[in-house]
Amino acid sequence: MRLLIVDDSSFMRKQIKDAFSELADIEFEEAINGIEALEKHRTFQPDVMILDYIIPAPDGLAILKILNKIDKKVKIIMVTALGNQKFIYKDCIECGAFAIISKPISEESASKIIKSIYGQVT
Amino acid sequence: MDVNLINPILCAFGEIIPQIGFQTVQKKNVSLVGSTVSYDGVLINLSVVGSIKGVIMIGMDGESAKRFASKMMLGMEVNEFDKLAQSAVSEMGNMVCANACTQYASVGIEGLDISPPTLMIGQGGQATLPVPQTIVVTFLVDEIEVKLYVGLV
Repeated sequence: MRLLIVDDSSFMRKQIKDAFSELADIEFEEAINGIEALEKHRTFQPDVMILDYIIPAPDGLAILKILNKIDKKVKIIMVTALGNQKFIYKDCIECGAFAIISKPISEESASKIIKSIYGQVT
Repeated sequence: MDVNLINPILCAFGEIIPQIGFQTVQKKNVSLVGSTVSYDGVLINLSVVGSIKGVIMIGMDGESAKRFASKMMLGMEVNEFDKLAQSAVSEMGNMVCANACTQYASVGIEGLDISPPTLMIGQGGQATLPVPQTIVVTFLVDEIEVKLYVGLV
């Protein structure tokens, strides 16, 4: 599985990589803002993206909307510390997010995500 | 400042800190200061916008910041407060404030948003908040002293 992590926090990128690398055979790539996310999406062609809701512009929701139009295959998991707020959940689901997970990311939530997508993308 | 505005932030702090690797969160004391806050070490600054607005800041001294980052990174040695350590404590501020927004939503104050965290590092620094009064809550987090500054109106 090819997984692109988009987060401006180096700590969060490391935490996500650590959490997911223990669960499956994954090839990782990283991006730190919206522009780089689109560029890495084009060159790396990920199966799965873990996309922070708040990143330097264009923000996570804007990237989600763009990719939902140009790539129906990639599964996008939105990550946000604001995830329990109803309007964010609604926006992300309506724009095509595969799932939304809240920060801090637990091993349990990472494991659930891997189980739900792994069979669909390998 | 309406003191009722502080409860959701205290709840958020108490909820997030145990999820990022800490065992104990003790509230030591609460005080009220003016709009200018002095700091030595590290200050994480996040703006809040929406029906209530202002600033939430989290501060600790330099050594405490290294110990805090180390705990967040599962005990990894942190000798220098480098980019990864800075990112870790910034992310803690982000998670606490974002969780506070969720707590506010649960009491009917919906649609709040926060800025990305700004990290300030230095000795003898001052930050002036856009409010006349700031509530300062001192916590002991696994014996690490952490100050929470709340300036919201």
